[in-house]
Amino acid sequence: MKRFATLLLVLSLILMLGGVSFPVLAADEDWNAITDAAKNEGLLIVYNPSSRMGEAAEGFTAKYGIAVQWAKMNDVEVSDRVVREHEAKARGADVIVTEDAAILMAQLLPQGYVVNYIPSTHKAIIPVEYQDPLIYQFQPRIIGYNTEAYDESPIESLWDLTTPEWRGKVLMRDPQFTSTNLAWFAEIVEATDEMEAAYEKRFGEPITLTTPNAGWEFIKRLANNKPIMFKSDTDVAEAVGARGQADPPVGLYVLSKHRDIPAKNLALEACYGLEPYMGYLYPAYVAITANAASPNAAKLFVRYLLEEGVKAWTKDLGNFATDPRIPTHPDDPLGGTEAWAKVTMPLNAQTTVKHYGELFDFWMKHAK
Amino acid sequence: MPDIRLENLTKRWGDVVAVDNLNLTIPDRSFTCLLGPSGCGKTTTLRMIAGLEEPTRGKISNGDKLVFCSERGLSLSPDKRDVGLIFQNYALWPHMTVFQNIAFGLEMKKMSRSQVEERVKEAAGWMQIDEYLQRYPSELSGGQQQRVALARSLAPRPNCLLMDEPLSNLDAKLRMDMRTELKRIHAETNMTIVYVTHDQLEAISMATTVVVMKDGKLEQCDEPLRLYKYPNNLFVADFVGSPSINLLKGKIVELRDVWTVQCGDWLLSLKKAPYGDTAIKNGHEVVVGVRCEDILISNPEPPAIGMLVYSNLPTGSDTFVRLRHEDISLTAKLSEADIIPTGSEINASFRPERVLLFDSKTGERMSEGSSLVNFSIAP
Amino acid sequence: MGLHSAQPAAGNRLAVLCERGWNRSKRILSNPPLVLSIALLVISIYLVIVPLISVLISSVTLHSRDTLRVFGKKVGEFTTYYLKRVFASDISDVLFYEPLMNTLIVSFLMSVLAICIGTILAWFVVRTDLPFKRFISNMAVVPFILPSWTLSLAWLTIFKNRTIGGTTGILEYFGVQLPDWISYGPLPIIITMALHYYPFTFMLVGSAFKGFDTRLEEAAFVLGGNQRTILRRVVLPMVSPAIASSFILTISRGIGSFSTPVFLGNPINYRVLSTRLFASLQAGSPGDAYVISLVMILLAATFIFISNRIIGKRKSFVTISGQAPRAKLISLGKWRFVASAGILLFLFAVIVVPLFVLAADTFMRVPGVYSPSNFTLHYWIGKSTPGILDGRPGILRDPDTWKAFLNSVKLGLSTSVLSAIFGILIGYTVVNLRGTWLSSALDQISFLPYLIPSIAFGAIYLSLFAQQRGPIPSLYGTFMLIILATTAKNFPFAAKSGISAMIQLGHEIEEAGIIAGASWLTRMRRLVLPLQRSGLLNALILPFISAMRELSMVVILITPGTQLLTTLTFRYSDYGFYHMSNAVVLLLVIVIVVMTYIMQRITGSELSEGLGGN
Ligand SMILES: Nc1ncnc2c1ncn2[C@@H]1O[C@H](COP(=O)(O)OP(=O)(O)OP(=O)(O)O)[C@@H](O)[C@H]1O
Ligand SMILES: [Mg+2]
Repeated sequence: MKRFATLLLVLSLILMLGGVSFPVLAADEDWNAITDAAKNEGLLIVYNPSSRMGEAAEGFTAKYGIAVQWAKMNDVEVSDRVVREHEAKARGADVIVTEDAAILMAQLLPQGYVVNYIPSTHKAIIPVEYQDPLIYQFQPRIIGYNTEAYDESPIESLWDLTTPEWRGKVLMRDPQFTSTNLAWFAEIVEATDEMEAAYEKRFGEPITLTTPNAGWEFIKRLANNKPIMFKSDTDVAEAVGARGQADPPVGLYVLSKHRDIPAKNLALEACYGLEPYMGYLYPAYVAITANAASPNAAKLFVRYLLEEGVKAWTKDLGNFATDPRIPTHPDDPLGGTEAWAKVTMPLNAQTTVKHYGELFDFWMKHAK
Repeated sequence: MPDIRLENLTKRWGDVVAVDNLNLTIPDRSFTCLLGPSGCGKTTTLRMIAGLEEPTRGKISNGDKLVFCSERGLSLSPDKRDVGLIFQNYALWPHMTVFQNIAFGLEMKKMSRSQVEERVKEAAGWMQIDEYLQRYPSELSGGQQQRVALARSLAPRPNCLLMDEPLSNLDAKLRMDMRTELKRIHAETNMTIVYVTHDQLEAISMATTVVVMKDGKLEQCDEPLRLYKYPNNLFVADFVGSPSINLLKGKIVELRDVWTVQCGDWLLSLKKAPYGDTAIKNGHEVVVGVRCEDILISNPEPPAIGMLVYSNLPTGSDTFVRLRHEDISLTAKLSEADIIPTGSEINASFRPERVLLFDSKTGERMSEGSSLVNFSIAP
Repeated sequence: MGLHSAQPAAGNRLAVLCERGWNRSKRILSNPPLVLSIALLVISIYLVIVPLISVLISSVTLHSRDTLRVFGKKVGEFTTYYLKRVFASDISDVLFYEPLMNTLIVSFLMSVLAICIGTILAWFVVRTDLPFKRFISNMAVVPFILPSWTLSLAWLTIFKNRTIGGTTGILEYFGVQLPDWISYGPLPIIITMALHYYPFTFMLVGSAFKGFDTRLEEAAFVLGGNQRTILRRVVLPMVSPAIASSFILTISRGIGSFSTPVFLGNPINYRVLSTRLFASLQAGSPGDAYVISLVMILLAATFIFISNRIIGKRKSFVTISGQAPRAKLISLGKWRFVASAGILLFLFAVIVVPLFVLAADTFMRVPGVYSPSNFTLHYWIGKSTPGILDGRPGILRDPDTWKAFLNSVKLGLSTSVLSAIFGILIGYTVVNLRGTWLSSALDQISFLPYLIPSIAFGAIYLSLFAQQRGPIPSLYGTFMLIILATTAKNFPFAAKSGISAMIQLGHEIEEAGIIAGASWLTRMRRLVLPLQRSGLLNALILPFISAMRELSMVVILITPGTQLLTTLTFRYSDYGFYHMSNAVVLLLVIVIVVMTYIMQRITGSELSEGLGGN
């Protein structure tokens, strides 16, 4: 009897908590109804870290006549705002895109600020491992060099970045404010063996550690080597690829910046063959806020993003939709996500969560 | 119309006792002056009567009407007390014309337009400021502003007009004019006027009743002349009168029906009205007070005593001479005619019935008046 | 019989007591200043004290993000984690001690420089027969009106080197290789901040110069001192109180200043407390940010405390009276025009050049190519072109700009109006109830926001008003919140000018109305407010300007729907869209200058009033 009561309590709690998400999880959705409801809801608000969202938003508005207000903000800002808006019960975002797996997995989802939603149309299409939480695309962030100054990649190993030769000549976005860079470090910390092997290969001797393992050691030495912190990938790519430099730096930036090479007349190429990896592959997550004021428009938008919106990114090099029906860019040097996943380190949300706090301080301490 | 009565009125600000247990009756239709040195609580008293300041304790009534009572937590708001108030700095509203200034209080009484106009005209006529009605206060002289302030207070015809040093910002001549003006107003209206000043001459010359205060306490409340002639204590004696009263320290050397008081080497024999205090013994310290006009020089009847003329201060109408004898110095008032060269010896005496005797310890006056019967140098 | 008489006596006493209570409370409730002051007290406690307490609490309770770092504690639980982290951990140096040192060094040197500039200018304008005085004294205060980072952006446009990528500055374009220490960091921060803050000194020391008795100076001259000795031995000591208080004013502003270090320090990771605080917020460590806020508040409080000790109670030491003895001007002789030209050149360099450089930059198609063929109007009026600045249209075509523009004006106007109203009411009640604890409480509380650096203030407001508390709904994301915060930040200024205006007015003006039988509302409407009008309009200008160019506080409170011109600049420069950011700053400058001009026209006052000129 008592157990039954407990069960009832738990059930009702689940019902209460999941009140919003319940219809979201319903198996088959009536898209006509959703579309109609969405149109009645009026405005849709989207927070995300990419300016490409503008195109997707315009496409959505053109197709459904639903106005979209979108804002570009970094991951911390997105999650902070979502939490605040939730607590404040204020009109805020309906849909968020974030690249910060740690916050999404450790805070936003479990604490009920956002809910994961896969449109019924895509349940069978998006690979299951990308469904919880939903990833709509991947992007590689890679290390690149200046082709005017170097015929081929001037570095062959990540460890080169820690050598005096490249002191003050490694450009990247500040990991303090770029969650994906921090997440990459987390992967490096876990990839002890690869890092050790690469060290030996590069310097011909085993590594002497001042930190727990070769991963930490790499991060420490990189930090000590005065890398230069940039605000955006665009700036990194430009600074690396600009012509007329006598002694150009290398930099970590998203591959998609290669699309600007002709327009900006850059001399830019990725460091293919870098040991052990030439960068990392990070996902973009999309989710609906738990208190979405326009829940139906939000659903419709997520579906649109998967179907067509994502093309705002994938039409250019360096963006890979999780929907296999959306083709890889014809100019892609490797030919698809799988290939990229082999030469870069795919980010794993669990790893990020595990090392996030420690790495943040570790980096801060050594980057001085 | 009723008297204004203050009972046990006290005002404190923290440790400062501005008014201390004041009991006072301001007679109906009187011209009452509150007189006292700076900081004695005159303004505070006035403001409490007006209702701008809330007393800490006590009672204020206007005839039968209780205006304030701390015990019952009662306090009528200023506009219900039927008083007018003139501030020391006039407090004219600089953004209103003279007309608007005067009309404001009338409008507040919800008078009709024409009534207001009539009353303003009347008050302006009274104060002879008709021609300035459309000017702003800043375009008037100090004296004119003063008149406007008066007109503004008079227009609503309050029962009681309170004034806080209204003439202190005016020059001497204007001040004289305004004093006359105020007396005229008082005579022609039926108002009670309460008038704050620290100028004793002003108080004596204008008031029907003078209230002398010191440190928040009442010292004496009397008709002006009585106050001058019979100050209750040394403070009042000293404060009232200009130049101030001559005070001679002395002690009683003989106590019979005629008291002998020794001041320096002078011996004054005084016949005095009965004085109740039997505790007075030989050697009791006293202060003898003589006003300067009560020192006789020209034809002193005996008893008289020789003194040296130390200095002469002619004022035009009178001449004040400073007299010296040993350590004693006196100021005497002579008429213009009798100028005595400095350094000459003269005989001086006191007007017999006008010598005042004070207890030097309490400062209280020891009798109604004392009559000098003999005046000599101690052997 | 005895029984009978005893009863009513007791009853009477009770009745008297009741009556007293009743009469009293009736009177208190019908005493508008009292009721008003209680209302104001509640408001200012809510807008000032509660936020202060909340920083304290926020610095020792666990924030939701940090569940990723501090395991085993729940959100909102007490923790010393942040205190330890900031003051005594591996990263304390980075997080606190270095920024602290940087803050102190930068704000100290900046103040010294600002005071030198301000004092010299003031001396020339007030004490000598310099030509073009009036023009100079009007122009000298302009840098203070402009947003403080105008100069920073201009600096970058001229001196930026390759280190941080993106477009380089003009000098690099012409082949001058600039080291980092010229392009970024303490040196440019000190210079640009000093150029922004020297008008404080100029105004304060200027009035001191104006107020003092030149006979002393003449006496020294007669006694045979030369001009330099007189300046050093007689003049400077006499204006030293003004200099000291300018110093305090400047340095306490310097400690809290954010926008200059953000533009010029961040590129090379040179952080001061305010930018470190912001970085912590951006990096998702609000706990650290609140601890730093506390330190900043303490720092500012210390300076104020010291200044009160030295200069005495927040009293002005100079009376700017119209009848100041007409100073005998020092004749510069043939150097008159040289001095004048030098000063004009200086003003030209700190006002015209930066604005011109910013403007020029917005007309260049490809950043950094300084040739005529590169001229473009795209960044002003261009249509959206994919590939250029994320496809944003020119700022004049961009609805976001206009929205931000309207928001800024709205913020400026509502803040200045609210501040003025608050100032008058505070002034009214504080002066009216002087001597009561209510009055001094109001006076003190309204001064507190001065101690809280804007950025900390913004952070506090964000945390405080994000949630519904009691009857007050959550204000997160509303424009109201931004207005409230800006207004509250303006309280010290508003209250100070309100109080001095009321003291000047004197209580008799209103009392005469009381005697006349006017109700409170009538008194306020017809006697008090009309007389405050000129003061009121004056009190509108400064809050308006400071609200218009407010960045550090609002940058935290802004949501996409409530963008302001200032935050738009900040965003654009954050994205690396320097053209847009420069263009928006120019727009902002135009708005501020025009509005200031209009308001001065209406009120007939001048910022530099009381200095030089006729
Ligand atoms: N608001 C106040 N708070 C504290 N003390 C006060 C206040 N107003 C007056 N006092 C004090 O109360 C005392 C009496 O003041 P009041 O103004 O009544 O003096 P006054 O007799 O009118 O003096 P004066 O002739 O200089 O005008 C003084 O000691 C004064 O300092
Ligand atoms: Mg007084």
